Amino acid sequence: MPKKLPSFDKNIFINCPFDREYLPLLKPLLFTAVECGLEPRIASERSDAGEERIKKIRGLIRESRYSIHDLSRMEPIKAGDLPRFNMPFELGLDFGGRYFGPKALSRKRFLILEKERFRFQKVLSDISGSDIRAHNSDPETLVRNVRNWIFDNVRKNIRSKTIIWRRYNKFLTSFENSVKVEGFTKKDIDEMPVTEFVYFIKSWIGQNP
Amino acid sequence: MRKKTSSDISRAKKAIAKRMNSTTAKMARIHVISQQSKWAVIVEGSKRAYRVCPTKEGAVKSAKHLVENGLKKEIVIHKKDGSVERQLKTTSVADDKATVSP
Repeated sequence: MPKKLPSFDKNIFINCPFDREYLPLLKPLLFTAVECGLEPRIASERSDAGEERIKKIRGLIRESRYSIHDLSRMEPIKAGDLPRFNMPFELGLDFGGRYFGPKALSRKRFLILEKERFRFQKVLSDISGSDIRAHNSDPETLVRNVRNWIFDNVRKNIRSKTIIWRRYNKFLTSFENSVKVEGFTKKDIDEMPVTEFVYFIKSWIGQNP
Repeated sequence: MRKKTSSDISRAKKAIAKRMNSTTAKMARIHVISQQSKWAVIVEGSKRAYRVCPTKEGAVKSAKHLVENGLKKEIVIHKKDGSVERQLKTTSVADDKATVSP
């Protein structure tokens, strides 16, 4: 049986799209996770072209006790596009790990996010009964959902949603001002690797505990 | 042109992190932020909202009032997603006529 990693109880696997349209939700999601003491783990954190993506995902699932699966963007981005199955597929892998994997993985906890409250029942009714919360594509609602789920499943001594949301706004002010001074364009900011963004979140929170 | 090395990138990241946490970055500001379908005026360093208004225009007006009275020096107006829409300094508050985004 693989040995449980020391960081297992802090790691949170984030399964969501990483496109520009999702950024207004991804950023507060990452901030809330870090603010509540968790370590976000994402598929793009190791950009080794030689490594199979599925192998990467498997490793992240095995190394993370917690997961957030956002299924809100599994529909096509625009008319004529095909729906995206990566998110529900990775959710299925995570469920598989919990049910058929080593004992440590049976303690895994998931949060499933959706756009509307009961939409998943039409396309993925097998997950009925799981912890599914709707964010209506609203960043503030997403912060509330993630924060409250962390309170219920991870730890109790965390800030209120209102304070986390205010701190996120303040962080963005410092972040946007600072990167602009260093010559970053809007495109540079929008296309910044997620790991780099998380580095700045950690740095700001470290200095503003 | 010399290609950026990983140590150059690391230096740039550290410079940004330092700037983010510098005292100038922490100067007393007023933030106008979305809060549960309303707009809150938040003064940095204060735990409670200075004012919560039903409209963004109302919140901006209230924040400008604080600056015009010399109580604070800068207003940061945020979008609904938390990002910065624009920033107003003491000198530009009186002349600001721009409309705010929804």
